[in-house]
Amino acid sequence: MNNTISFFKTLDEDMLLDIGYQETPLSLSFTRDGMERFFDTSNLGEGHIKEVLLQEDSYSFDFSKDCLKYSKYITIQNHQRLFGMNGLVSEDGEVGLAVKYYSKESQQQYTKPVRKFTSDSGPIVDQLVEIEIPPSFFRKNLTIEVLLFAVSPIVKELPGSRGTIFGSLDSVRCVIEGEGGSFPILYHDDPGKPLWWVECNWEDAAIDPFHEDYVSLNINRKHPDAKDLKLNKMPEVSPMMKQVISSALFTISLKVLHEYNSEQLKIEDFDEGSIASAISYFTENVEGSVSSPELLSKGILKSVTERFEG
Amino acid sequence: MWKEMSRKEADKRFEEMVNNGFEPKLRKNQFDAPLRDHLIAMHNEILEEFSLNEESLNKKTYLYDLQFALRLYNLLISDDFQMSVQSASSDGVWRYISLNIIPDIVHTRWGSNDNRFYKQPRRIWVKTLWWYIFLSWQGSVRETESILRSNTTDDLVQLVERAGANGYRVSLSREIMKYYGQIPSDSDLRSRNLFRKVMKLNTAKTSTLEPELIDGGIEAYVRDLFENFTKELQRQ
Repeated sequence: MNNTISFFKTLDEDMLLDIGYQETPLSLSFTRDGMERFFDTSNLGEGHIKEVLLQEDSYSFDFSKDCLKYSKYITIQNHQRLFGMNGLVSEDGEVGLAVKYYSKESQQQYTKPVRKFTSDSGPIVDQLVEIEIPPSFFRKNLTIEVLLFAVSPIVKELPGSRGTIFGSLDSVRCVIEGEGGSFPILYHDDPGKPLWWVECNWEDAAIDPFHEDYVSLNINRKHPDAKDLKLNKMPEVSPMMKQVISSALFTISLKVLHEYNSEQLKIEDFDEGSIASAISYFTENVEGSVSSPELLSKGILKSVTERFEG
Repeated sequence: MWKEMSRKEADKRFEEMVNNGFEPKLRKNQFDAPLRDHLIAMHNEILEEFSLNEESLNKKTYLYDLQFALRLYNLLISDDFQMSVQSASSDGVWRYISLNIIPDIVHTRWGSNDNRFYKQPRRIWVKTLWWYIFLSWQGSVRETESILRSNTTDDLVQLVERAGANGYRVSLSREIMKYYGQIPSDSDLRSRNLFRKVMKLNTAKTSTLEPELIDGGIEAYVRDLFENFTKELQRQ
């Protein structure tokens, strides 16, 4: 939202009702191995800020490599309401639909026109609004909006008003990277590698974030035993996956305990979101504490099993 | 490949350098050392080609910045380093380059100014150089250099520090830089803060309209934007 004072009419809630605006649920997808995979958009409310976490069953979407496809159909039954005295442009004016996508965190915005229409051109029925957003441009968050804009000047006396944005018909915020908290898992497809391994790349566990750049559990989907992990059932976690996660956490905890002893883990004020703070939080509730590797291993396995069983 | 450095980590690293000298701190991998070697070679090449030394470099800052920026951008987007716009929008990546890969070069250019190393995200020197070229890019180093040659440090700042609420409009920025680059270096227009005025007007206009949606496209929009001032200045 901006705080500009508008010298022209804008699209408000009343007008949105008057024009008979309807839309189909939006679809957000990407293509992997020739198959289109869809993000879950079923619980998006209407009229509120819509937010979708770009994560699907196989957890394989990677915005540095994959295109993101947005599509929906929209209808404007009473499009004539947009023209004339009480409309947005003059009776003989022209209005357009456009898609804008932007990300403040990625410092970029792009806008593409979809179509133009006049008062005489008939209602807009099941108009496909579709856009493919290329990979390796965006990070953190991305907002996609469907806009209504002035193709012709709002009034003839204001030729510079072409391109004026009247408002947004739809807006969805896509969360590309969550704010942390989940276990960083990276997937590989290499028949020559083991089923799983841990990578610890941090320099200082007290500072470096609990993020895949610094620590990760690596899963090899092409290993013969990978089927037992039941990755296609995620977010449901299979018994074998629980074992793998527990072992990975144990390895990471041991490495952190080489740098910070168990007393420091309890009392030190580590950076929020750091690896040490995550392990400190996790081991705090592990029965048997961190006094010996065997107790730690047992405690982690028990804790992981309980967490996934809710 | 691209490592990010958190703000807290950067604070710690900067303090360490203030006490012990602005020396690089490289990871033992196949990435950091080659990156540094290339950047150091580029720095030396510019000093030699333009007969600069560390003192005169700070008197011809735009000349040095432009030359280093063009080489930096071209190197980082090359197949060897593959920096995407996604990576380039991460302050953490620039903090790491600034503080660990080439702290000595940043120090030569900016002394101990922590804002230019990492503290002010919009002013991290290496980051501003990359984005200046990305937002001005005309398809090749040679074409881009030709439109940027007559600019000043203020022009660079006016472009890079006006990201807008939702980020840069990349095609629009490139068109503005192309148009401005075609104004001869000896033209009186350049000395009258033309670029600053154009960028201010653009910021005001884009708060209500989208240049890419105008009939005639961004070329027509940019021409009109400049003509608001060039016609008036030419009349005076």
